[in-house]
Amino acid sequence: MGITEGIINELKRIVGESNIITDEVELTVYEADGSFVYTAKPDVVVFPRSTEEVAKVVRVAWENRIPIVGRGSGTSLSGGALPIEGGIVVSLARMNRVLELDIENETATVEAGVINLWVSDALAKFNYQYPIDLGYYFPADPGSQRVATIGGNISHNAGGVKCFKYGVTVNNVRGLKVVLPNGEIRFFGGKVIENPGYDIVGIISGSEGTMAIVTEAVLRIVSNYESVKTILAAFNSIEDAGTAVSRIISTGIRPVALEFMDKIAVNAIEAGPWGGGLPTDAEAILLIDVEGSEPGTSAEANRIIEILKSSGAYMVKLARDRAEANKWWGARKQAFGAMGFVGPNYITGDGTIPRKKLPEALHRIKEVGSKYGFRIANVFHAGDGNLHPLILYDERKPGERERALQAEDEILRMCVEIGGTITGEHGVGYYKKHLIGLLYTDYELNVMKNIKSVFDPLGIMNPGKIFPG
Amino acid sequence: MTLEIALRNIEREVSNDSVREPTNKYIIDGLSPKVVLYPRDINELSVIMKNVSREKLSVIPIVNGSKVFMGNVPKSYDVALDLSRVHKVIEPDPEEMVGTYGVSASFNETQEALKRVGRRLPIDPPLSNYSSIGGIFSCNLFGPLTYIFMTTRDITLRVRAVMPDGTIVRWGTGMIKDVAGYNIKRLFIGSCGSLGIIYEVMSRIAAIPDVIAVAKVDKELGLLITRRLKPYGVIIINGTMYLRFEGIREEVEYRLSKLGEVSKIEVFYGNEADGLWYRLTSINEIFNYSVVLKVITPQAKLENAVKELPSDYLVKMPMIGEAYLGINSIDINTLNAARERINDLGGYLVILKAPVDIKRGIDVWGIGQNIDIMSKMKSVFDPAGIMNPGRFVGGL
Amino acid sequence: MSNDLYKRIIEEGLNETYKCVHCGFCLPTCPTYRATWNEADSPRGRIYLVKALLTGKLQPTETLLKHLDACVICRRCETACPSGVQYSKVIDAAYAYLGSKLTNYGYPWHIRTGFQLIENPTIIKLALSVSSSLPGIPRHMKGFARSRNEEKLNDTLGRVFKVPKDKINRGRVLLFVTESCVAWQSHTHLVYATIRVLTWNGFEVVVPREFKCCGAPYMHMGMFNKALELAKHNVDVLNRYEKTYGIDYVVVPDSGGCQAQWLEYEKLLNMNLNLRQKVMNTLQLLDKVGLIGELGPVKMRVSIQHSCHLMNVVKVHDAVLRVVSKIPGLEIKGLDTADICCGAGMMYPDRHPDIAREITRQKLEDLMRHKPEALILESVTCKAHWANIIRDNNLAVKLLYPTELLDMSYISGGNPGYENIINRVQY
Repeated sequence: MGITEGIINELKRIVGESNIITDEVELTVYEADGSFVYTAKPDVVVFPRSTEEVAKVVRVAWENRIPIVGRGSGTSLSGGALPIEGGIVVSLARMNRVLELDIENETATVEAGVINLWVSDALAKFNYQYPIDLGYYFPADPGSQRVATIGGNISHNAGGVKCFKYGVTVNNVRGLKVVLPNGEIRFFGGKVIENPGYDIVGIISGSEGTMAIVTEAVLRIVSNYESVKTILAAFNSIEDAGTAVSRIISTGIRPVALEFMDKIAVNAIEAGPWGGGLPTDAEAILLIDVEGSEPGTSAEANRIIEILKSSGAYMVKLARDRAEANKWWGARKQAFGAMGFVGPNYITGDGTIPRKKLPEALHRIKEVGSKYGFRIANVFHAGDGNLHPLILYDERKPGERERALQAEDEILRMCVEIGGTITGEHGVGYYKKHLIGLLYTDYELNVMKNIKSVFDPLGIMNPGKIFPG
Repeated sequence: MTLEIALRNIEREVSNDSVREPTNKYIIDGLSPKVVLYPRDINELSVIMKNVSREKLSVIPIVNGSKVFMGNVPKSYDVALDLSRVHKVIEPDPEEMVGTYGVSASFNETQEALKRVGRRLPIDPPLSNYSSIGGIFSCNLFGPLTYIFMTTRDITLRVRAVMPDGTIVRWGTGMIKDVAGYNIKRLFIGSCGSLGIIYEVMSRIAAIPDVIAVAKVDKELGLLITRRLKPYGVIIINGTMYLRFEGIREEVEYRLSKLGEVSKIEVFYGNEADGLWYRLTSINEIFNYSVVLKVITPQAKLENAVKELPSDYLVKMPMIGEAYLGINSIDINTLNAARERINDLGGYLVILKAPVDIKRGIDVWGIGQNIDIMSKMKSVFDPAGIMNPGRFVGGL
Repeated sequence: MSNDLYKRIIEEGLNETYKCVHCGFCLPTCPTYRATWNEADSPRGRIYLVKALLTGKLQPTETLLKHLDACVICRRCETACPSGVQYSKVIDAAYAYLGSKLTNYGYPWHIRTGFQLIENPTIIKLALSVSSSLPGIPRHMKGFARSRNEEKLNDTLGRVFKVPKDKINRGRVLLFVTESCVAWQSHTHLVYATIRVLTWNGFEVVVPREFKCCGAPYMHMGMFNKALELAKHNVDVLNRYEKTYGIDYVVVPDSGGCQAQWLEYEKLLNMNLNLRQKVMNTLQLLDKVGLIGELGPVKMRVSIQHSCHLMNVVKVHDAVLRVVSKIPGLEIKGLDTADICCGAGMMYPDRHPDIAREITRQKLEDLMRHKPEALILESVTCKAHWANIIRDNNLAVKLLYPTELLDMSYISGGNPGYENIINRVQY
C-alpha cells in the first residue's frame, strides 16, 4: 500500500522522466474533474504513450495493490476521474492518434485519448475515393465532444443529440483494446457487427473505468445524407411541446435530433454571448433536425411543421440555410456553459424519464427548486428521455453547494419514482453511489460486483465508484 | 436420485401439467432430456430453477424449438425447460415507443399486436416466422434492417429473468439512456440461455412509416453503390437482390428513382412489400439443408469470405457483413480451413446447423480468444454450470 | 506592490476564478495544452492554480511559477469558455499577487533590461541591423531583424497624408505607430501599405511622433504600473490630437497585440473611453465603411494564421477575412488551426523552447498539408516568429499582412496615382 520511491522510479523507467508527475503543484490540478464537487489528489500521474506502457504501469499497480484510475480530458460530471483512494492516475491524453479510417468497412480505429470531435474532423478531411461519397462522421456527439476523449465517452456510455437515431456510445463501438487490472492486454470485438459469445465490449462500455483501461477503440462511422433541415418551434406550454414530440415520432419520421429547452434555459443562453436568436418568451422550445434526400427532408419538414402548429406552437421556423441552423444549434450546445452567466455555478443533473412523464417531471422539479430556493433550467433530449435539470447556485454563499446537491438528490429520486433512472449518461461515479439501490436489489448489485471481480479481483481499478460500501 | 428429489420438491409447488414426459420436440442433437418442465408462470419458473440448481441438474430452455439445432452438442441434458406458456404478454406503449413482451410470445403475434397500434419491432431476424421472442432475443438474432435500426441487443432496454438459482431479477430500467450500474442486459441478450432464463424483454419499437417499398433488382450491385442508394436493408438470395426503402413518400420515391438509374427494378409497396420482406429475411428454406453456416465479416470482406465455401443456397446481407450458406454436405477439414481464412479477414464462421457427427468434430462457434473471461463471467450467473452446458461459445 | 491598481486586479481575478465551473472546454483550444497534454498547462489548470494561490492553498513554488509563466496569454480560452470566464484577469491577478516573483521568474534581469533599452529608437535601429548576424541574440529579436523591410519609419512620422483630390474625404485617422517599438521599426512595409490603403479609401492619415510602446509587453509580464504609464501617455496623445484635429479613428496597422492592449487601457485607467468603437484595425475599418477603389487580382494560394489577440480580444478576424475574401484571384485554404495561437508573443520561443517547438511542429504539419504560397499573419509579432520558422525549415512561403494583400490588389488593379501616395519601394 502506498507509493514508495521505488515504485515511482519503476514508473519513471516505464514511461520516461518527462511523462510522469510527482510534483505537489502539478498533482493538485489532477485532483478535480468536470464534476467539481469533490476533489481527490492522486499520488502520481503518468502519461503512457502506448498500450504496452499502459500495461506495464497497470502491472506495477497490480503487484503493489495500488489503486489506479484512467483519465482522458477530465470532464466527467460524476467524479469518474477522481482517485478517491489515491494511487496512480493514468492519463491517456498523450495517446491521441487516429490510427485508421476504414471507409470501406465503415469503421474508425483510434487511441483512447483522441478527442471525440477529432474523429469526425479527420473524416471531414479524408480524401474520399468514391466520387459521389457524401462523407462520414462519428455519430455519438455529446455536448462535450470538443474536449472529451473517446475513452471517456466509452466509460460513461455518452449520448448526444443524435442518439435517438444513432444510439449511444456502446451502439457505436465495434471493438476495444484494453489493459486488464492484472496488466494483460486484451482485444475484444473487431470491425464486425456482432461477436459470438458474451458482449464484453458492451459490458465494458459504461463501466466507468472500473473494469479495465481502454487504450484503443474501433468505432462505427456513419455516412452523411444529402440534406439536413432544422426546425425551431416555440410553445406556450410544456405539455403541448411534449404532445408534439410524440405525434412527430408516431408518424414514422425519425428525426436525427429532437431537443427541448425550457424558458429559464433559453433565457440564460440568450443572455450570454452565444445567443442564437432563440425565442425567450416561450415556455418550451423544440429544436428538430431531419436528414435524407432533398425532396424527402422537405416533405418531412413540412409534415413536422404541420404537426407543430396543430399541437399549439405559436412560432415555427424552418432554418433558411445551414448558417442559421448552426446558430440555433450553437446556442443549444452552449446551454450548460451559458448557465455560468446566471448561476454563476450550476449542477448538471442527469436523470432519465419516460417521455410522457415530462410535464409531471418538470412540475416536480420546479417544486424542488422552490423548496430549496434555486432556479432550475431544463434541457431535455426529447427523443430519448434524458433530462438535464441545471440547478443554478452560487458557491460563495455558504452551504449553497451542499443544498444544491440535496436538490439534485431529490430530483433523481423523483425520476426513479416516475419510472426512470438516476443517470442517463453522466455516470454514477462517486457521489451518486447511494442512489443506485433505488434501481437494483442487493442481489442484483452483488451480481454486478461479481462481474467486476472477473476483471478486477483485487479491486484496484477506479475504486470507490458506482457501488456503495 | 437428484432428479427425483428435485421433482418431488417441484411437484409440490407447481400445477400438475407443469411436469411432463419428453417427446420428440425436445430432442437436441439426438439427445433426449430426462424430464420436461413446463412452468405456467414466473413463480413456477422460479421454483423450478431453485430446485433444479440445488440438485445441479442440467437445463436447456426451449420455447418453440425452432432453433434447437444451434450450438454445440450438449454435455448433459437433464431437464428440458419448456417456456412456451410461461409469459405470453405483449404490452406495447405506442406513445413511449417501447414494447414489453413475454418470452413465450411469438414474433408474428408480437408484430401483429404492435401493428394494431401503429407500431412494429424494427428487426427482421432469420426464422422469424417460427420464432418466439425468447428465441430471437436470447440469441441476439437480427437481419438486414440492423444497418439502420441497430441489433436486437442494441434495442433491448430491459430484461427480466430468472437466475439459475431461482432469483427473479431485472436488468435495465427501460430507458434508452441509462448508465446506472453495469449493462448486464447486454450480456443476457445473445447468451443463448447460458446465463439464466429470460422471461420478459422490453425493447424500442418503431412507428409504421409512411411508405414501405421493396425493390427487386435484376443484378447484384456492388457494396459502395448499394450504400450510396441509402436503402434500409439489403438481402441477396441466390443472386437476386432486394432493397428495402422506408420513409415519407417523397424520400422513398427519390431513392427508388436513383435505384432505377442503375438497374431495372420491380417494386412492391405497403403490406405486400412488408410481407415479402419478412418472408425473404426469415430465410426458412435455408434451414432445410443439413448444414447451415453463418459468415460474419467486416462489410467489404464479405465477398472474399463467402468465396471460401461451396454453397447450395446462398443468402448475403452485404450492408451488415453477414451471409448464410445452406450446404448439403461438407467435411470438417474444409470447414476448418475456411474458418481460418475467414478469421484472417477479421470475421467468424459459425456453424448454425450440422449433423451430429460434424458437431462432435468441430466447435460450432469457432471462438478461441477471451474464453477465460467469458467462463468466469458465466460462473457469476451459473456457478454450477447447469444452463445449456457445453452448447455455447468455448464449450461453456 | 500594493496600490489600488494591483488590489483591483487581484480582486477581479479572484472573482473570475470562481466563475470557472471546471468544464474543460478551454483545453483543446489552448496551444500549450495541445503541446504537453498536461492539465497544469491548460487554462482550466492555471485558473485552478491561481485560485489555490490566491486563497492560500498553494505556495508559489518553482513548478507553479513555471506553469503560469508557460501560458502564451493568447486568450483563446476566453472565446471557448461557455461560462464567460475572463482568463486574462486571472493571469493578471497572479502577476499582481506575486509581483516580481513571477515577473522575474519569466523575465530574468537581462531580458527586462533589454526591454527597457529597446524603447530607445536609436538602439532599436542598431539592434535590427546586427541581430541577424550576431550569435546569442534572442530568436525573437532575430525574427524582427530577418523580417525587416527597407522602408523607413521615420519618413512617415510627423506627417499628414492627405486624401487624393478626386476622392471623397471620409474622415481622419490617427495611425498608431511608434519609433520606440522594434516591431514598427522593422515592419515598415506594412505601415506604408496601410497609409496607401487608408488614403485611397478616403481617410486622411495623421502619423504622430509622440506615440510610445502600447505597453503590452509590460502588461503581460506583470509590470502594471509601467503599462498604466504608457496607457496614460498614449491616451493623452490621442486626446491632444482629437482636440486639435478631430480624430474619427485610431488605426492600428495589423497588430492584434497592440490593438488589444489599447482596449485594455480602459481596464487600467478604470474609465470608459469607448475605445472599442474608436480603435480599429485597417481592414476592420474598411469592412465597416465599405471599400473604395479597383481591386485587382492577386493570384495566390494563401493560408491564414489568425492573430490570437485580434481574434480573441478585439474579435475582428472575421471582418478582416471578409475584406480579404473580396480580393479576386486569391485562394484561401487553411490553416485548420488558424484559431490556435502560434506561440510567438513575449519571446515565448526563447523562454519555453520545448513547448514552442511542439507548437511549431504542429503548425508546420498544418502548413504542409495546405502548401500555400503565402501565409497571412495579422500581427507584427506573429510575422517575426514565422520569419524564424521559415528560415529554420527552408520553406518557400511568403509572409504577408492582410493590409499588404489589399495593397497588392490595389496596385494590380491599376488605380492611377495609388502608388505615388508615398514613395513606393520595390518588393
